[in-house]
Amino acid sequence: MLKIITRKNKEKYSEYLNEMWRQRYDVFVKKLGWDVSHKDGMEIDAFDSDDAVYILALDDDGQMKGSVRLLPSTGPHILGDVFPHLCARGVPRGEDIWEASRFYSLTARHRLLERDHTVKELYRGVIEYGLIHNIAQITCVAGMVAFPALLQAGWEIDPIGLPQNNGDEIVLAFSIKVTQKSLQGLKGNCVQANHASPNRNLERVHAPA
Amino acid sequence: MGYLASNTNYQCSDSDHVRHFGFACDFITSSRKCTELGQLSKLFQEAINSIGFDMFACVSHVNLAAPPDDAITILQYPQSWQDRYFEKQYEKHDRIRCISQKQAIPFQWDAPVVTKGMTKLQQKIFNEASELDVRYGLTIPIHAPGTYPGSISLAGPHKDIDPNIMHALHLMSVYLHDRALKIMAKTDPQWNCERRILTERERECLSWVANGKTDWEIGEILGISENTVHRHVENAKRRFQVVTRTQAAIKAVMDNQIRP
Repeated sequence: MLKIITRKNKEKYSEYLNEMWRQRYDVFVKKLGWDVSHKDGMEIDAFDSDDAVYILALDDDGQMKGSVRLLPSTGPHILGDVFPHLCARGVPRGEDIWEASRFYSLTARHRLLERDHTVKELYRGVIEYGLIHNIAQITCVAGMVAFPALLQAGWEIDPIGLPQNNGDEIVLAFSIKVTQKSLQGLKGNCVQANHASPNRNLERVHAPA
Repeated sequence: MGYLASNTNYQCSDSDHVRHFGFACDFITSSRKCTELGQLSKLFQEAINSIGFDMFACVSHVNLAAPPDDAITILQYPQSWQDRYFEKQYEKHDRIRCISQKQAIPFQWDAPVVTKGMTKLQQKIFNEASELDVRYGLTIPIHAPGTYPGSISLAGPHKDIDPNIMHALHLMSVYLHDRALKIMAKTDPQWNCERRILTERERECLSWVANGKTDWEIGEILGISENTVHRHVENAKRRFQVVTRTQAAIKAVMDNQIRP
């Protein structure tokens, strides 16, 4: 089940938000070792503002299993404020352009975000939320390591600029088309090979920003 | 050279970024219109020729002499080299393939990660390739869940590759591999039929799933690890293109592959 949290209902769901920030701390700070601000075991940054919209994935028992943050491109957001140099033709901004960040799933078996139930549900949630709110594209920054898996998910993705070195990884800005075709692509999942993922031994793997 | 392996930030000038990005986008846009592998391969070949590379290979890391139906094997290396590589089963020892299974970021063939610690046989393979003009190049490893690990390698006569264009090649290669997978998924009906048939282990595991057992319990019953059970169940889900393990069990029953 998905739960959407916005400025309108965040008071009511503050417990969910706290749990999300704790999980983000576990994933991004402890597991992935990101150098991001955190306090009291919660990973909260300047972009967790009133403008942020959160999509939370809950299991049948109401336990949170993953989440993603959406930010309007017209205000402060990761691509515009931290990674503008990743855009070859300027940062895409507009009422109908939002950004996805801090995507994680606790049920994925490894950091390449194997397409488990939570990942799929969140992907669909992002596109469905976008379709309802007249969003045309979702921008995102991710490590190139995760990019093949994102392309394979089945939605339409266009790069916004060339990949660039960022510390010891290579990152890319891209845009996901919010269309029925993308939604159908996620449901159809173009390619499903009949063997297990062999990627357990990777030395450098990074989830999307 | 070697900047991909180092930690230094390489910044393209803005005009270079725009130009090389345009180059990559031209390929990506055209690649989406390709409906067969020959066409896709030709398109990529033309693009890399225009920037000074001679040849490329886009391969799944499988036994190349007898590749599974769903593996990618697009090879544009000299025929004499391909023949020798197959015949001697070099893929089992190939240094480039070995590195690209361990490393996720692109690397050039003269980087220390490649040249240091090679076995005698690996050095021999390298030397033989050089004699047939597969000498200087770079490799982009591809790792995506649910697909074979793979890589795209580009080779050419020049040692110095314009570093500005590296990131463009990285991006194009990832799209090339993705497009190849999508074309194969659409055009290989035999594979589509076969993948609905469960393996022996998958059948065993799903039978226990149908009886309400957890991965851990099934592992205890079959004497295999919980992770292995998880993998078999996940594979069964992929075969039937369903989301939950219960759906997979139901499909297997309806398909007469397990007993209710």
